[in-house]
Amino acid sequence: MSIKQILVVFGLLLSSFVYSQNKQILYGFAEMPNTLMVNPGAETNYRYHGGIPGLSGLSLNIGASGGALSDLFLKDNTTFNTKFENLSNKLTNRSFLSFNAKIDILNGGYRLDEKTYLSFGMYQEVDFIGYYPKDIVELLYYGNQPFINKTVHFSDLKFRGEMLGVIHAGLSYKMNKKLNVGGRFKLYSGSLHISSKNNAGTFSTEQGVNNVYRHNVTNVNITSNSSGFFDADENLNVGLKDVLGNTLLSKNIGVGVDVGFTYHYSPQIEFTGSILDVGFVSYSKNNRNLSITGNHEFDGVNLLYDSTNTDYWSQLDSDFKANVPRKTNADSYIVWRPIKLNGAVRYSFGRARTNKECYDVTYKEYYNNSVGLQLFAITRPLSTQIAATAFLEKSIAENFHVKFTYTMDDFSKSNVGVGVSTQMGIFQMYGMFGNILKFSNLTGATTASVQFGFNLIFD
Amino acid sequence: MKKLKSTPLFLIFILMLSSCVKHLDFSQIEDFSAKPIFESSLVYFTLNQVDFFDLINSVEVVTPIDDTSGFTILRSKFVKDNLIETELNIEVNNQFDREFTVNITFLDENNIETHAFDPIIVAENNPNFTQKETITISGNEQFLRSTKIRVSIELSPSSDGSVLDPNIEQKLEFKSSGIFYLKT
Repeated sequence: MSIKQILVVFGLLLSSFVYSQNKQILYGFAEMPNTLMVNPGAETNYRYHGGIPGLSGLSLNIGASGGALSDLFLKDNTTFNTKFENLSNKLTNRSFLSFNAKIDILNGGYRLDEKTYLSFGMYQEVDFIGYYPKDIVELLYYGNQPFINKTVHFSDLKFRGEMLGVIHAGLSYKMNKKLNVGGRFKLYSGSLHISSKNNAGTFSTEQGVNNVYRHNVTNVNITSNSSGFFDADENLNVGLKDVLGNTLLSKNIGVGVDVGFTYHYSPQIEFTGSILDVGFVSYSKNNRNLSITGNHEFDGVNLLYDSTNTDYWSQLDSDFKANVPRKTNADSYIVWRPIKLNGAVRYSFGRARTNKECYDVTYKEYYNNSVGLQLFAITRPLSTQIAATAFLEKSIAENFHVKFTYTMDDFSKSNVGVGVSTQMGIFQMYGMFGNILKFSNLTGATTASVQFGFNLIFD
Repeated sequence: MKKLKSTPLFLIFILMLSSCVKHLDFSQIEDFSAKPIFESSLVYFTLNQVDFFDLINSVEVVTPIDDTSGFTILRSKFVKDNLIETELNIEVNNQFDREFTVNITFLDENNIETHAFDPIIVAENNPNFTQKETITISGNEQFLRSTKIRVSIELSPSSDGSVLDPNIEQKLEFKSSGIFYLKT
């Protein structure tokens, strides 16, 4: 094995494959095949490409708004309990943890004619976001004694997680010299899904009249949907083989589209935009939906001293169940995918080099520098999350491009990223690092991202 | 333009990753211990003079009257494993011009006593009688078998020989709450 090969393997084994769902470095970067996945209207200047199966696009991201791993696990002189309490104090019910992993199983593309490029593939995705149910966690951690007269809000409970496989095919079409448009059709195959949001209701303990305290469960409406977790007997049953198998054409089918465009306002100014994952999945297999609704007041047990041998406790229990019924069903339901929006403006400058496109007779001007702004938005259960990125892209050599980004979003106001893309012969690879300022102490970072990809490009 | 080699790329990866997870100790989570305190209303009742008067025989009821409620909180494995102390608070408004003796007993499924508090004496005409009783689980593990709570009230005889008048209203209001100290 050559040194280079050893380093490739070593690098692959060590790298954590973390990449932001906001693919701010990948978006619009250096005309790589993977940019077609974030903008189907991206321009392509090659004849065909093939991703190395499993390696053409690996990404995993963890982001925490308001807290970092070191808040809980730093090796210092405070106890874990103190760290937990401090972190919980810092967080609010709008703080969240998000996690997204994507693996390209197959990715390829083929030029149909001088205007049209077809790309297709299959990838698996795991996506999770959970908001911090502060009231509920603190009720469980401290008990209700510190919360007499305070209200615990069940609406704090908000999370969704999904695992699915996506088979896709897209076209990038050059309408004219200025405008390139594209679209992608996606077939989703849902494997696992769980969510609970739009919950309502409160729990409170107040000074009572009949007894020392009155405990109230008010206007409760808690619902959750899940698919793939519970079997027909309502037992938790998740088998890895089934989970992976279901990412390829399961009974939970859905469709979605991506659309995008690239518009050259002038040879040096370019606008791009895309909308991704406008689609849904219909879950029907191994569903378990839960709903808890109602109102209840509890004063304690009222002893009657009337010799009727009342079973007070059973009475309490049946009263509660009648007032706050808990229902389950296995109905199918539809879940909309989180929609992502990208928009960017780019200004290119510096030395221009005109390249003959290999497949037709037109020429394209490539500047070796560009700057610009990107905006990213993603729909989430609580609110739409937005990130803004400023970038500088530079071609250091004909086949070596670097992109620097500065991003502001819910996770960080100091997220500086760098991406590198290079091509040696037909072998194209890219590496991207987000949040590099925190790289020497990743554990204190609230977001981390590194991405790898290998493709074969045939010009 | 010169094509650059990609070897430096991987060296950068390796260098950066070696320093990216320092100073963490995940084993700290084993030290995690929550100490929640839950307070809940328990039993309550209001008795009046008729409850202590046998109208048929026109005599006072001199034996204790009692009632029992189920109390199955301690059946939960989580509570059994993590309860370290229970505190019982009682608040009594005694409008009688007589003393009462209150006996609170916890019983298991076979009606065998698992814990009995010492008799609580409530003085006459005391509107704000309060008392706190504590059960420390360590040393009183049989308390964890409790599934019932029985409250028995005994009217003390008058000091001057007088008898209750069933037509004059007098009330005994009893309230109670429990505090459960847990430690995971």
